Amino acid sequence: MNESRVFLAKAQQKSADEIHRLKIQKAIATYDIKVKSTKNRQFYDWQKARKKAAQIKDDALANLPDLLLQFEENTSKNGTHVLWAENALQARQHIRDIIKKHHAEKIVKSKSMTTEEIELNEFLDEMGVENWESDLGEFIVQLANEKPYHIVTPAMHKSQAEIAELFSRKLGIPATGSAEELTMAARAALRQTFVTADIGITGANFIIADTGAIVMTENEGNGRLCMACPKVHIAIVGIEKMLPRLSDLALFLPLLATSGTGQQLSCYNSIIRGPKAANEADGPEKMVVILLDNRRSEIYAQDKFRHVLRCLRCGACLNACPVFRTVGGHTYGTAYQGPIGSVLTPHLRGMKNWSHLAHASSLCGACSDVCPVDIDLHHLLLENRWQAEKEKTTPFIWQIAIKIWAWLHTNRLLLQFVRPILKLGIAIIKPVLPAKKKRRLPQLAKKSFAQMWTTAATKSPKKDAISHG
Amino acid sequence: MNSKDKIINKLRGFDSASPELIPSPKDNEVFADYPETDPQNLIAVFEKQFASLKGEFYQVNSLQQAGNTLLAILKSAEGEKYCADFSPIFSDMCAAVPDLVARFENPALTHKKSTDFAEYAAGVSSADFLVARTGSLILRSAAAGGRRLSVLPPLHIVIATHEHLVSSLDDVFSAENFTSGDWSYGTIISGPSRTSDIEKILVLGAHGPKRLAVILITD
Repeated sequence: MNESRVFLAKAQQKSADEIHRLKIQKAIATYDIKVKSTKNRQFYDWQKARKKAAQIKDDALANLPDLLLQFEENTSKNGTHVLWAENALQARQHIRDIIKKHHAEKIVKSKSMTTEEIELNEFLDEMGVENWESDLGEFIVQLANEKPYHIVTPAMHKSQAEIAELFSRKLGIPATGSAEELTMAARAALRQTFVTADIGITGANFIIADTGAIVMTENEGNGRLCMACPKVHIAIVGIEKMLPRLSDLALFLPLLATSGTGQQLSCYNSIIRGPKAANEADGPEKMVVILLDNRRSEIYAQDKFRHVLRCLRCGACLNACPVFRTVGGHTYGTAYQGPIGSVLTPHLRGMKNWSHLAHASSLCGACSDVCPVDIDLHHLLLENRWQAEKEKTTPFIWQIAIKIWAWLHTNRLLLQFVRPILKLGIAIIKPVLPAKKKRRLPQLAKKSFAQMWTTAATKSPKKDAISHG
Repeated sequence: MNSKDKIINKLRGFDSASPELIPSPKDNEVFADYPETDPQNLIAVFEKQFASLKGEFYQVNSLQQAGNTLLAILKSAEGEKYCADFSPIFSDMCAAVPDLVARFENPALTHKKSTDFAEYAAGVSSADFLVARTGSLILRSAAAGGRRLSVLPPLHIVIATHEHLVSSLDDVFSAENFTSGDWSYGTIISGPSRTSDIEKILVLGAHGPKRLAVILITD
């Protein structure tokens, strides 16, 4: 079955699942309230702030090659090892080599969408290395053997009761836990993992060129533990996460926290410049930053799409999207869900199998409105539709249908025959259709627009006004 | 050609002009809650913000009071063993309250393994900055006893003076020498560890400290 059919099948099932809908509505309603109040309290002018942020990111992108080299030079001075990966395969190979070199047996991970993109967990499982997700939401989906549902809230689709049942099965605790008891159970279960793991793998939210640092935002402290306890720290980062200056964080950290979770700042924002320095008490002996391209340079090459690389992965467009809220995160079948995923995925995984995502949108523009870096998401979805047509990746029958439609609509004389033909067609088909499908046939209006127009025009005293309007 | 050159060359192939930069707005132009900078107000704003993040705030007038406050906080800790960064301010406090020093270990000196940190019920560290607008603390690994002391124990207590207080993050990043010196890791801490991953219900103490306290010494 192709991806488009899978999407439709899952979407049909999920959109009829009322329990799922209630869970998502409740989570997003809580999010909406927090974001609204933090935005108003914190920012004079949200529009100005996000325009400024967009501009800083555009500037960073315009100078991306130089800034990447500057980052490498600066962070290398602190003893960080920088590796480059053109694609997911190379990134996984780098990680495999580090694991082999250090004879690592146990890995602890913090939440990272980039590792989802390169399917690192599956790879580590195949290698037979013990590998634990440590963010609570990620830990839940890992135990449930599922994929993250949402780029910021991976277990948004699970109720407290479902998580309690899961933990009782996997961790042997009573199945009646409250959110607090469940969180403490995860804390206890992972504590030993943090202090005994050989390697910590994290993502990063920003790369800072002038300081040679990466920046990681989180709330739980699991990321800090991944970078504090194991003797090796690997950070895997998309090349577009660039900011030119450390001082840019004064705007970007509050912006990301506000859009991501409705916080003024996330609980922990860590600035990591390298492995343990000689004068320090502790820290990893080795730190590796893997800079991942994985087709970002191809997005970069397209003028119309380059600005999508501003994305901070805050998840605001998912929460705002009526389609995401209805079909849910798993329906997309992608590492990045929602509007940003629908824009990115065809460019990351190929238009051929993923162009259908451009149609998973009502084009209402809510995603573009909430984006903290002003990405014009809904127009980029239209752009993806256009590209898919141009590259002829849509089904043949669809291409023919579009051709006929275009031909009819550019020819006024032909267009007036469409109605009678449709009418005839419906009249023929209707009696032979099974009862269930009957109501799906469109109802034709009694009069065509052209007929109504002629009547209105002859009757209306304001004929001139209309025709000149 | 290696991967690095391939990626850089690809990006260079599509040269693009930088946008015309509007002058970077200062924090006081962007943020509605930018505080007045007089010291008394900064303390008040910090206290309010820190409390809203569920931090525990104590303002004292002397090193001796600070030491006694620390002793009082430790009474509510989950155990009897504690670690500290033995920073100058901590040492001064120990000199003022001689009872203190025997209760603390310096894990940097005893080369503690991460597994051994389980025995510590609290970690005490200094901070480099206190940010009033967001109620945040900024620690850098070289000065604050490393990376583990402030994240592994369930209670983290920070000792600071009013000289550490600044208005906003802008002041920190534009502070001269912020990036100078050998420090590998800095963290901006805003409240005790937290999560809302289960039904968006706020729970404190996900993986980091369950409690965070600040003892602020003012003249």
